[in-house]
Amino acid sequence: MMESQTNDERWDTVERWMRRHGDSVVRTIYLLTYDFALSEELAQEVFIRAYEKLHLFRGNASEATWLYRIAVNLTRNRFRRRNREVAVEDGFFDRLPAWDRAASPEDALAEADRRRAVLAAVAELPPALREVVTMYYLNELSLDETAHTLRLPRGTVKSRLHRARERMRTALEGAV
Amino acid sequence: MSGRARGGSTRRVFGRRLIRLVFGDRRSPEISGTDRVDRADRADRLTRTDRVWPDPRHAGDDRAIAAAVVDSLTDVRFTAAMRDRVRAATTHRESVRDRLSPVFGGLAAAAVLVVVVNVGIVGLGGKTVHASSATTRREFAGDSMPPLIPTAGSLPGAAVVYNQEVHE
Repeated sequence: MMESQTNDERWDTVERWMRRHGDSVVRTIYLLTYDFALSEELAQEVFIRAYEKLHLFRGNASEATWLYRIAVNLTRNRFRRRNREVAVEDGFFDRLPAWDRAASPEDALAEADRRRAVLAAVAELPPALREVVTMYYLNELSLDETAHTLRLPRGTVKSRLHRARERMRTALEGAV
Repeated sequence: MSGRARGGSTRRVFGRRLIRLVFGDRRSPEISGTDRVDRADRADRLTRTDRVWPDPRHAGDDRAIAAAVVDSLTDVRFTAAMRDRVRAATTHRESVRDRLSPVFGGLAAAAVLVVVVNVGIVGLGGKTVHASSATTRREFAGDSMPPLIPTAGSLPGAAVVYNQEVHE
């Protein structure tokens, strides 16, 4: 556990984590919720919790893993409370940045289609599979780290990854 | 603290694995040496990914597709404004906690006091009942008569009747 720190020391630690992991935390939540506003709100809450519970942080897990776990728990709680499913925001795909490295307008359109297809395929996954995909592929955690973060057995992570791959492959066939 | 050593930019890290999943891995087997994933796990994943996603249409353009996905999420960032809001929230909660801690302390002390007093009362009452029961048992054991109540004269109703019945 972290030794007792003054408020300023705790804040310095959390601020460093925000700079280092803030983007990946907010993107993680975003891929779990597909909601810009909610992901921003929950990402802030993640770091507030981290500040308050810093004394519980054990150095034997990476700080990123610890933050991801907080993020997943907050997201789960929020959706349990609202009793709602993830739905992609209206107009989300229209707000994606333009593909400015495309050689031609045709290439840009093709790339935009691919991006939409990938993100839509992830959005179609049920929450349990999306969590695993987010941790394993987006955050590049190992199987063991993914299992630790999601509090799942390693075998469950593997089977969920397999199911996620199958579903995404089916969803993307013909789309890309 | 066991910070993770990562190779490459955050952007590359963010989308690389997802794209490898979706579009298959057509890169050379060499993966950044700073990747923490152990070699066996990595080899297993690449093998499975290739088996699951062998679409040859995407050979050669994995990197472009990966960059596309990363680009699609570049506007999802933890901004300085969000950092400021976290700072403000933590400061506010700290000040609220500081203000309320004496109140909670007082409430806790009062609750403890109430518990102690109640336990004391119950304990005292228990002893009294026990003692009188013992007395009653002793008196019955002596003459098979129920005990007289010496102060029955000052008591109304049933106790007086009871005393009279005992005397009769």
